[in-house]
Amino acid sequence: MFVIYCPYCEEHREEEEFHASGQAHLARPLDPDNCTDKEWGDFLYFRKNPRGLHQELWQHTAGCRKFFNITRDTVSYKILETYKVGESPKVNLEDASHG
Amino acid sequence: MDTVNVSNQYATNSVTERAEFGDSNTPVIASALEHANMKSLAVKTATGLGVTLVELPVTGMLVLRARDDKPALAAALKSSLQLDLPNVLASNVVVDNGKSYCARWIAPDEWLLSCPLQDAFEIEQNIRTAAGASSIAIVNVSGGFTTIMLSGNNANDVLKKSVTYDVHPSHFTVGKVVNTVFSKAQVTMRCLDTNHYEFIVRRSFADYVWLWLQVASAEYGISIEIE
Ligand SMILES: [Zn+2]
Repeated sequence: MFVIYCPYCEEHREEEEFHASGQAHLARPLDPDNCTDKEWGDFLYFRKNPRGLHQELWQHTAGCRKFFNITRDTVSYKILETYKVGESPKVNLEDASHG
Repeated sequence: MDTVNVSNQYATNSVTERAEFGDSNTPVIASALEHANMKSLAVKTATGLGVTLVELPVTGMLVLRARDDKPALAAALKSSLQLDLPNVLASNVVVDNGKSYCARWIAPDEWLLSCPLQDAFEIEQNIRTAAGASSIAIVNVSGGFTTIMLSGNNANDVLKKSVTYDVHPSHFTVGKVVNTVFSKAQVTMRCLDTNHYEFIVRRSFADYVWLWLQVASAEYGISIEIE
């Protein structure tokens, strides 16, 4: 069971109130009509599945219903940070995974 | 007076007495738990037991939304009802001439305002007029919710069995509003006082929450009151 800090409600809540929505920071191709099938396919279907640090999109479905991001270790389940959509993560995945 | 254990009792077969409405032009909205027949349950239960349950008559509910124009919404609410837009997880209440208005924080760009049912339309118009051309949204959701009050010496004990949220009085403080999961239903709960809580429940979840409250309260003894 996770206890997750919602950056909008500004307090920790039980995982029961949240819904996980997969990998965070997926950039939609800016010009979908003219991008390649590979670019569109990568955006639509292909997701990371790392053993270690992962940035994920979550929604506080039973609370404020806002989306936000979590940096989480998929091995230890440790949550390193939560941050609002539009904000940048403080944990750099490259640095942290080698540190 | 005959008293019965109302635990698990639900939807008696007798015809529910409809609430009396003053004039026939007022649209009649049955409360979400009208079929549970609170009136007949209330006369059968003793008073002053561990837990008291009340379903309030249908209340006016307005969802207020604003993002960039939040200051305009706050000013409009202030000028029309003398009510401040609440901050994170907070509520503000104004009682004027016996009428109660309560604004609750739901999300950074959303608030839930309750008011007397018959005043909801006028309040909506007043806020819209005061907000002028700003980007705000108001939706009247009055019929979609019901309000259940839980009080009594064991009210906090019932809450502890029903939610994962930390409801210790030092954490779930007076005036705090929390959107959370009550058993499996989503509710907006507010602490009015120690051992006095308000639940705003979607109409479709009202039965579930009501039955759960009866079962969870049974061990303390339940008084049902009508308002
Ligand atoms: Zn939240």
